[in-house]
Amino acid sequence: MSRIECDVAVIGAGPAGLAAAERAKQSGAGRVILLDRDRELGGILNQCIHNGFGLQLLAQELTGPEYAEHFINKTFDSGVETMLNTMVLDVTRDRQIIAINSDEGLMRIDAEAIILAMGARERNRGAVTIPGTRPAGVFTAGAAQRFINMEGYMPGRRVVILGSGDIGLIMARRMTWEGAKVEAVLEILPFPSGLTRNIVQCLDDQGIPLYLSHTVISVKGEERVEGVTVARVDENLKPVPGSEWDIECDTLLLSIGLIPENELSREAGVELDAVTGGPVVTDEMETSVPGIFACGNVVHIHDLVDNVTREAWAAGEGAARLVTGKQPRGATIRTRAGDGIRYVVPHVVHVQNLADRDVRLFMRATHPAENVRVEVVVGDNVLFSKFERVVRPAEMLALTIPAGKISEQAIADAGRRGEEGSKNGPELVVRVTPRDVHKRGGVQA
Amino acid sequence: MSAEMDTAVITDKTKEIRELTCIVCPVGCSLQATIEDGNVLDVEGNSCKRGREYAVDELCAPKRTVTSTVRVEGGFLPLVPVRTAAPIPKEKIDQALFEVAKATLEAPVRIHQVIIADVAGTGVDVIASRSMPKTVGTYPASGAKTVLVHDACV
Repeated sequence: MSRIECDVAVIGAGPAGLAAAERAKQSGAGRVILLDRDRELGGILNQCIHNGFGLQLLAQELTGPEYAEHFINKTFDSGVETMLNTMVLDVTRDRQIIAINSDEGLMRIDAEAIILAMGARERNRGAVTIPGTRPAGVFTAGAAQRFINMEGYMPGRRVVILGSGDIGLIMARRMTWEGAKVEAVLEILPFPSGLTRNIVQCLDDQGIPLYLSHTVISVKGEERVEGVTVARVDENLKPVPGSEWDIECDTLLLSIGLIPENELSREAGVELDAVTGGPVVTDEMETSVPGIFACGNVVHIHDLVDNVTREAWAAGEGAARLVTGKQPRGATIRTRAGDGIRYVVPHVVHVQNLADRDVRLFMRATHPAENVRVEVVVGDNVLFSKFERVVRPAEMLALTIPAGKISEQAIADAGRRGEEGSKNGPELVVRVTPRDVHKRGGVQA
Repeated sequence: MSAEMDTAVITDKTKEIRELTCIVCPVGCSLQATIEDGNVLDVEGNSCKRGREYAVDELCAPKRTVTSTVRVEGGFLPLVPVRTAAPIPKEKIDQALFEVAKATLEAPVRIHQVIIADVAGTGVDVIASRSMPKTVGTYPASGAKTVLVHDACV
C-alpha cells in the first residue's frame, strides 16, 4: 500500500473543498492534498449551468461552472496538490485516510488535519415512500440536471416535479427551454422550499403552476411513467380524500431536499447534530474529533454557494492554525437555537475568537416572518442583534458578530446570574423577535 | 402564485401599484412600483439600486439571462455550458435558444469565448461558461499538480 504524509488532506473538491484547501495552503499549511472521486474538480457546480452564483462574494452573477473555474484556478495557483478519480474508503480518529484509485491502488494518507467536504446527496423516492408502480422515468432533479447539462440526454418530455427545492425549480425552466412540457410543481408544505427568485423566473416566467400543500400519492405506468395521481394535503400533511386528480406525464422529478453525506464522518466517530444531519463544529469548523474539520453541505445544507465558500475559508484557516500551532486556547461557549430558529452553526465558539475576530453564525428560521430582529442572547442580555425585513426557512441567515462585540466579561456576568437551562454554563442563544417588542417594553415568550 | 405576484391595484384612473419580486439576487426583495401611463414613477421595497433598475426593466422591457449548452466535438465532455453575456429581452429567448441548439463547437474552448455573436439580433453575445480542454488525458489544462506516490511506496 502506498503511503503519503501531508499537513492537510481535504476530502471532496466541490466549492467547499476547493476553498478550504486553497485557504489552508495560503494560511501557512505545508503540503495540502485535495481528493475527489470525480473526473474533474468543481463538484456539483459543473452541472449547475444557470446563473446566480457569486453575487455576494465576487459581485458578479456567474454560472456554476464559472464560479468553479474561478476557485479551481486559485487552488492550482496556491500549490495545492490534487488527486482525481480517487475514492476515500475510510477516515480514522487518528487522521488516517484510506483511499483508492486505478493508478495507485490502495493508499494510506497520514494527515495532521483532515477537512471533510463531501457535500450532500439528494433525497430519493425511498425517502418519501411514494406508492405505485416502479417504472422508469423517476429521477432526482440533480440526476436529471447531470443528464441534460453534462451528458447530453433528455430524461423525458412531459414532466411533473415533486418538491419546490431550488434544483427542481431550476430544472423546470431548463427542461422547458429544452422543449419539454412541465405540467406542475407540487409542494407538500404550505410555503415553497426554494428561493422566491426561482419561483418567479423559473415557474411564473414559464407559466408553470405551483401547487402548495399538494403531493404525489401514486405513480402509474409499467415500463415507463404514464402519469401521477396528486392530492391536496391537510395541516397534518395527510392527503384529503376526494381532492385527488391525475396528471399525464412520462417523467417525475424529485426535488425533496438534500442530506449531508456523512458516512466517512461516522466512521471517524465524529459527533453529528440530529437537526442539521452534519457534524457538530466549533467556530474553527473543527468537529468533535480533534484535527478533523468540516465545511459546506456536509455540515448543513446551504442555499448559496457564497456562504459555502465563506464557511470553507473558516475551515481552511482553522486547519492551518492547528498545523502551525496557533489554535485558540481557553474557554468555549455553546450556541443554541432559541425561538424561531431551527439550528445554529457553529455549535461551539471560542471566547478568545469573539474578542479577536469577526465570528460568523449561520442559522435557519423555523417559519416565515417579517420585520424581525435576529438576536444573540447570553443569559437575559441581548448582546448583538440585526434587523431582517423577511426571514424564510428556505433562505439561510448569516450573522456576523464583530470582533470584541461580545466580551469575556459579558459572558462571565451572564454565567454568574445562572440562567435557566444552563447546566453546561452560559450559552449563546440565537432567537427571532418581532422588531417592536422592545418598544412595548416586554419580550414575548 | 403568479396571480398573487402580479396583482395590479388601481389607485386612481391612471396610477397603479404593481407588486414584484426582485430576481436580481437571492434576497428576493418584494417591490412595489407605482406606474402612470406606462411610466414607472416610484419603486419601494428594494434594498439596493439594482432593485429599482430591475423593476423599471421588468415593467417596461423585461430581460433574462439565458443559460444552455452547446455540443462540442473532441472535448473532455460532450457539452459546453453557455450563457448570454448580459440579460436579453424576454421575447427573444425562444429565438436565442433556437440558435444555441443549432450551434456546434470544437475543443478546446476557453471560458468566456464568444460562441454566438449578437444572438437573436439582441446585440448580446452567447459566451462559454467554462473551459473545455480536448480529451481526458489533457485535463485539467491549467497546470494541475497531481500527486505522485510511487516514491512513497512502503
